[in-house]
Amino acid sequence: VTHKSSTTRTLKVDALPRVEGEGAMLIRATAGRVTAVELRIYEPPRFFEALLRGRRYTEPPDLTARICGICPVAYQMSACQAIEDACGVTVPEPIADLRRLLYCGEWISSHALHLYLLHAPDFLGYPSAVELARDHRAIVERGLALKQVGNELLAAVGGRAVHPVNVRVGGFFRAPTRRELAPVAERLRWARDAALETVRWVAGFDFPELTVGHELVALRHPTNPEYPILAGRVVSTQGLDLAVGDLDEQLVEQHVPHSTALHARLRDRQGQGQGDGRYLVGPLARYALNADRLSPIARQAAAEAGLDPSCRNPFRSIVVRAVEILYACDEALRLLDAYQPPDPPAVPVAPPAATATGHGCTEAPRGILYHRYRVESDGRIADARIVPPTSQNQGQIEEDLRRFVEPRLDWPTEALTRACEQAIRNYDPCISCAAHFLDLRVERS
Amino acid sequence: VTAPSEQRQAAGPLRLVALGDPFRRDDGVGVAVARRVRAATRAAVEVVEPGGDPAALLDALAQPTPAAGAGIVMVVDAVRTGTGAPPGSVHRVELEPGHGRLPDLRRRDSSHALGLGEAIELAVALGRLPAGTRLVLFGVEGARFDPGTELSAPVAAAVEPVAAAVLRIAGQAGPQAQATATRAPRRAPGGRSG
Repeated sequence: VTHKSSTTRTLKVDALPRVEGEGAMLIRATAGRVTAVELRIYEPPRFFEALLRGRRYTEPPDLTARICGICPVAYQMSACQAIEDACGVTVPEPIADLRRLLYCGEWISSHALHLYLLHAPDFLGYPSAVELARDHRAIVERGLALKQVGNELLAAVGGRAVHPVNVRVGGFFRAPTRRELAPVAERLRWARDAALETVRWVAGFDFPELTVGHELVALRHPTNPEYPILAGRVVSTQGLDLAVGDLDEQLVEQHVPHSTALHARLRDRQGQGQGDGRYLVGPLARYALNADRLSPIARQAAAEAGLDPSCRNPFRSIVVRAVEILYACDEALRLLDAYQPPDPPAVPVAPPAATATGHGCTEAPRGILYHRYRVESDGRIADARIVPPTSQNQGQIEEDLRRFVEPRLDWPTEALTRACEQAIRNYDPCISCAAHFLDLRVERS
Repeated sequence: VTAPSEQRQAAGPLRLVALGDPFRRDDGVGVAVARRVRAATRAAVEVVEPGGDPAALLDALAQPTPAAGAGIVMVVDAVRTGTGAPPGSVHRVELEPGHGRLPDLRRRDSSHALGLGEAIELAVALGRLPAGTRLVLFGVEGARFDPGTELSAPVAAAVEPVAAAVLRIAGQAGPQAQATATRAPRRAPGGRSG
């Protein structure tokens, strides 16, 4: 819908489709310059943080999993880690491996959904997955089948695909047997091939030109040569190197006038000009900082796809997602091959002797998800802090739109709007439980 | 007298797909109706709650065995039509996918990454909804969608009539549905799923 007046030109879309949830967007331009970009998201974890106070220390994994139907495992894992940290417990390796296996299922499922049904249509000029399916039925079927394999892995380890029920502080309620996991291993072998085809498919897309100088932040393990999922230090392309526990002080969340959501910034970078502490998490950041730690098949596919760890074009994140699906399939197969059910499936975790604070950080499909809990000696939670990936990326999404739109202000309204939507989807923003609709408006004076 | 195979084909699946988020007040009306229908144990209706997973919605609409023939898929969700209809109003729409154009169901303000209209069209494009499937959509006009679990009073009052309408459709398809149920234990009367 285009609205014209003598001084302003307003481009309005009722809502941005194909994102996980609802929000609002306003872009305003005056005399060829973008003067305002506002991404409005209503951030529900605030309610959860209040709700968690006074709850038992065993409850956050299941309660916070409800924040998101797409990445519940990420919430469960970050919560478990933070509680265990507060209680002074480190889970043994076999339990950590089973967690990693479960997490692979979520990466496969979440990435396949976003890549095939939400993002790919943009690159191929289709208004939605429906039109894509009409012309390329087999491709959409492949995407749905890939997602299904992720769900099967989630169900096999977690008890069910959405909001798994088998996760507890200290480990799992029950460890699946090798025999129970055998069928999903068979399916993963198919999925690994399908993922390789996916990388080759998306590598052939046309990528709009956009280079951004974001500080990219991801986990990286100081010693284990593993692609980051569950462990590591928090590092960045600009030399940040923090223990997970330092995030509490380093991540500053700010209210911005146009949103009830909080914007996360890096404390040490504030007041230093350009980025003002804004940073980016997610596939592009993980890849930039850990490309050397992909498995050989994934590393080779990335190279063939023309990906380079120095890549700073957010539109290429779809290729990184494809590589990460391939990696997750390959890694799940490696873990399944070596799998011995942890016995016992969970280690005991008692409340701390005195009030203690614990931190957890894992790589959700969309980037690092940080949890902090203060646990009382009677097992009650005194307070909680949750910083999800999308709230960390909000500032960068706005910055991307500013840079993307400015040189293209002469574009036709419809094309520019669609390109803006595509640019937002580069980050697979997860605002599922948001209370306001995403309403994209570009005003041009 | 129809042959058993034809009878089975005529029956097809009889399913209720309940959409919406029960933690977003009136958005929970679909799940409330689903509970009510489940409680009526004699109804041979398979009740599915795909939750927030768009691909699960696609699976919920799709026929697990298209060869079994066209069936009846009922969908209940909260809607905000902007037509001035008072909260609690029930909009009933009947569709036959593959037979002419669908009404414009692609709500661009849907809170689902893949809206209902898109999911239906995608199911058709992928051949998962056989022609002739009867789709009955019940949209209940909602008032409040902020976080919370209570339905507003007029929306809560719509739960019973919508459940009754679902059961009436199930009753009309009753004998055939029962025949399906005896052949397919997974769709037994009152059976759970999802």
